[in-house]
Amino acid sequence: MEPDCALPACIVMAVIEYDSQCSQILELIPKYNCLQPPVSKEFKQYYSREFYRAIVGSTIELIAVLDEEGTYTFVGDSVVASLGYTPEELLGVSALSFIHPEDLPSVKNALEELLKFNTASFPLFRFKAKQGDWRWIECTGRNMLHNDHVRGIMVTSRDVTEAIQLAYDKDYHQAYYKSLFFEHPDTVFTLDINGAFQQVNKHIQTLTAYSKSDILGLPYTALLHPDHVKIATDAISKVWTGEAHTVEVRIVTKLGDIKNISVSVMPVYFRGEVQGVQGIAKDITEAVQAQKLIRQQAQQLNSILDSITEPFYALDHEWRFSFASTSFASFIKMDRSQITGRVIWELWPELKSSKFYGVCQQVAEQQTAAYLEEAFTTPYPGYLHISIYPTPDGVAVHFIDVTEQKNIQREIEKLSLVASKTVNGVIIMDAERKIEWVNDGFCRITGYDREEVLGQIPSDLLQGPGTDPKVAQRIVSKYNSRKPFSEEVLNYRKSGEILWFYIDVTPIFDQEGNLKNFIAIQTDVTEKKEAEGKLLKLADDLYKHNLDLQQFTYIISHNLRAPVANALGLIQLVNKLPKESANFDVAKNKLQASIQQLDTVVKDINKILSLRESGRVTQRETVCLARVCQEVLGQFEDEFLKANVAVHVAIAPDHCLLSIKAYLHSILYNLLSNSLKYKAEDRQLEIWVQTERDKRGYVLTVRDSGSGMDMQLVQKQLFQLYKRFHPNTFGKGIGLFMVKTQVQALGGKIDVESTLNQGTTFKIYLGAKHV
Amino acid sequence: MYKKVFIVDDDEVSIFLTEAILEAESFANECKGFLDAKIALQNLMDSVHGSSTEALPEVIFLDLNMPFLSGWDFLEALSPYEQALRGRCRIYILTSSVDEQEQKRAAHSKLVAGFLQKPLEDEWLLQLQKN
Repeated sequence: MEPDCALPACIVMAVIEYDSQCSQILELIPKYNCLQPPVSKEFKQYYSREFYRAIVGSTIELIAVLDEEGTYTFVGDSVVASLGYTPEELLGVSALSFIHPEDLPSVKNALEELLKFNTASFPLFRFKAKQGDWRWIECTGRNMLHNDHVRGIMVTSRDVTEAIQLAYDKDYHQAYYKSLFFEHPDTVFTLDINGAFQQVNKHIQTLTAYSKSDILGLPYTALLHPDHVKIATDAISKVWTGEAHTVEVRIVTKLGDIKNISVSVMPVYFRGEVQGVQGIAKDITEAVQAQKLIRQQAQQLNSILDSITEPFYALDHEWRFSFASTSFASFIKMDRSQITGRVIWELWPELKSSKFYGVCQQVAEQQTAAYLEEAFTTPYPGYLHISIYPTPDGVAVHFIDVTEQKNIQREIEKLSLVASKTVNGVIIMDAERKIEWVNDGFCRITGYDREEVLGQIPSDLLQGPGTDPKVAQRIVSKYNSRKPFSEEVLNYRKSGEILWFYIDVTPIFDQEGNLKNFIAIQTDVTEKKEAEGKLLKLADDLYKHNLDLQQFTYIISHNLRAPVANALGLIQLVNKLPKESANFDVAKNKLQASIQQLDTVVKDINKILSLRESGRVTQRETVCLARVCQEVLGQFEDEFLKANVAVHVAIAPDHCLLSIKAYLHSILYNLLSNSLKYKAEDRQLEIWVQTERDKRGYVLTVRDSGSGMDMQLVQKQLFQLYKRFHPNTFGKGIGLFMVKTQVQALGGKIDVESTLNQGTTFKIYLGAKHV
Repeated sequence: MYKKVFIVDDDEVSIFLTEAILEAESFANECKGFLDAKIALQNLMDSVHGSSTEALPEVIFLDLNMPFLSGWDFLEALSPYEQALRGRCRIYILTSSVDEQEQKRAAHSKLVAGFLQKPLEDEWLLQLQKN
C-alpha cells in the first residue's frame, strides 16, 4: 500500500502549485514524475477506501484507469467538471474513441510505450468533450497492470486547452510584432531608457549607412544634424510622457550626407510603465526636396502671374474666382480676399447681359480660347480687350485696358478726317522732310497723286524757276532751326501752273525731344497773290502818277513859269523903254524867244504825257537790238564823221525781244546824242554799244569816253526833267528824262556810272520788270 | 544906290531883264550877271578870303532852278561864311517858281534876306533900294 499512500500527497501538491502559478504548470509536470511519496512516520497511517474515492473525485485532475486496450475501467468523478461526462458514461468505453483522429497515432504509440516501460507521458492531444468541442489534454500514464489492487493503466489528465490557447496567442503576437519590426519597409528602431539604440531593423543601413552593429548602443542624438537636436530631444521627451507623435528632423549619415527624415515615435509600455521608445523613420529627403521645389515653383508661378501687369484672373467651373492677380485687384479697386471664391456673375450681375458673359460660356463649353473687345461700365467705364482661355478648372481671363488707345484712335480718326477733308493741303514729313503722308486737299491743289509724292521733299517737288531763291533759302534755314514758321512761297502745280502757297510748318518732337516729323499746312493764296500783284501794280502806277504830278508841279512852277515870268517882265520893260533905246529891240526879241520857249515846254509836256500813256497800251513787237542800233547810228553818221567819233558795236544778231521799237530807238538816240554833246574837247570821242544776256533778258550798255560827270553832284537829279549839268552846252534837260520814262514804259531799268573827265556808262536792263 | 549887285541865273533872258530893270531904276552902280552859279560862288569866296581885290556885292539876286549848282546848293556852299556875309551882303531869291514849298524853305535859311518872284516888280525894288 505504500505506493497508494504516496500518490495522493503528490496530487495535492500539484493542485496547489497549479492554482498559484498556472503558467508554469507544464514545467512542473516532469518534477511530478520524479516525486517520491513523502516519507513521514507521523503521517504513515491508513485511510478508508471512501477517503481515497472522495479525494480522487474532487480533484480537478481527471484520474482514470484503462485496461490494456484502452477501455475505461475506472473514471474519477472529476470528469464531470472537466469534460462533462459522468463516470458511468465512460466506463467500458474505449478512451481512444474520444481522441482527435490527428492525435490518435501518437496517443496509441504512447500507450504501447507505456505497456513496455510502465510510465509514459502522452503528447498533447485533443479529446472530445461531452459538449462536442475538442479540449487539449495533457496526460501521463502509469502501468499498474501488475498492481493487484489496480490491474490497469492509470492515466492522469488535465484540461490544458486554455493554456495552449494562451501560448498560441503569445507566439502569434510575437511573430506579428517581429514582422512589424523587422519586415517593416521603413527603418524601425527601439531606444532604451537612456536613449541608446536597442534594436534596429535592416533598413537602418540604407537610411544612415551605419550597420546594425555600429548603431546598437549609440545614443540617437549621435545621428542628428546639430540644428535638429533640440527638435528631436523635445520629441523624445514627449514620448516619455506617453505621447506618440511624428516629427521631421534632419540627420547626418555615417557618410556625412544630410537627410530629412520623418520619424514616428511611440512609447513602449511594459507592465504599465514606459520602458523604451520605438520609432519608425522614413527618408523624406526627396519628398522634402520635391515639396520645396513645388513650393518654389508655385511661388514662382504666383509671382509670374502677379508680375503680369495686365489684369488676370481664373474662374472655376462654378464661375468662382480661384485666382486674381494683384493688377486685377487694383483694376477693380478691391482686395483679393474680397473676391476669391465669389461668383463673378453674383459680384457684378450686370455682366450677365454683356457680350463677355456669352463668350465665357462658349469658352467653357467648347474649350477653345476666344478674344473680344467690349466697352464696360463695370466696375468703371472703359474699353477692354479680353482674352479668355479654357483651363482644366474653368477659364482664365486676361485683359488689357484699351480705353486710352481707343480714345486716341477715335481722336486720330477725327483728326485724320479733318486733315483729309480740309480745303488746305496738309503734309506730314519725317525728320528729313521727306513726305510721309499728304491729304486729299494737297492732291487736289497740286495735282499730284499721294503715291507719287511719298518720300519726296516738298520744296524740291513744288518749287520752280519762279520761286524766289531767297525765300527758298529762308525756308531751308527755318526748317533747320526746328521752330514753327510760316512763309509765302511761289510753287508749281504738277501741270506747271503757278501756285502761291502760304505754308505753316510745325516740327513735332517725341518725349525725348528728338525731331520726329514736320507738319505743313498749305493754303492756296494764288488769288490773293494775284490780287496783291495787281494792287502792287496799281500802287506802282499810282506812285508813278504821283511822281509825274510832282514832276508837273515842278515843270509848271519852273519850266512853264520861267518863260511866262520872263515874258511878263519883258513886256513891262518894253512898255517902259523908249522905242529908240537899244534895249527895246533886244527886249522885244527876247520876249518872242520867251514865248517860243513857253510853246516848247507845253509841247514837251504833251509829248511826255502821251509817251507815258502809249507805253502802257502800245502793242509789243519783236525787236532786234542790232538792227535798232544800226538805224540810230545811220542817223548820226555825218555828225560822227565830222567829230571824228569812233563807235564800237557788239550786239549779237539773235538778241531780239518783245518790245516797242520806237522807244528803243529814242533811248539809243538820246544816249548817243548825249555822248556827242558832252564829248571831251581835248580827245577823240569813243563810243561802245553792246548787249549781253542776263537771266532776265538783255543788258544794253552805252559807254563813252566823254567829259563824264561828278556822280556825287548829279546822282539825284540826272534823270529829272529840265535838269542840265553842263551850263555851257546846248540842251534843255529833257533827254535823259525821256530815256528813263521810256525805259520804265518798257518795264526796264537804267543805271549810270560816270567819272569826271573819263566818260559815262549807261546800262539799260530790258526784258523783265525792273522797278 | 548900291555899289555892286550880283545876278545869278542860268537863264540869259532873265539876267538881261533883271539888269534892264535895275538899270532903269538906278538900283546899283554895277550889275554883274552870272549864268554859271559856280563862277559867282568862286567870286564871292575870293572876296571873303581876301584873295581878290574885288569887294563883296551888297545884294545878290539868286535863281533857284539852275543846272549843276542850284540856288539851294549855292546857299549851302555859303553857309560856312554866314558870319562874314552878315550885314555886308544881302541875298534875295529871285525865281520864276510859284512853289510854296520853296518859299517856306527859303524862310528857314538865315542867309536869305527875301523871296522875290519873277518878274522883278518896281515896288519891290523901291523897298530894297538903299536909302
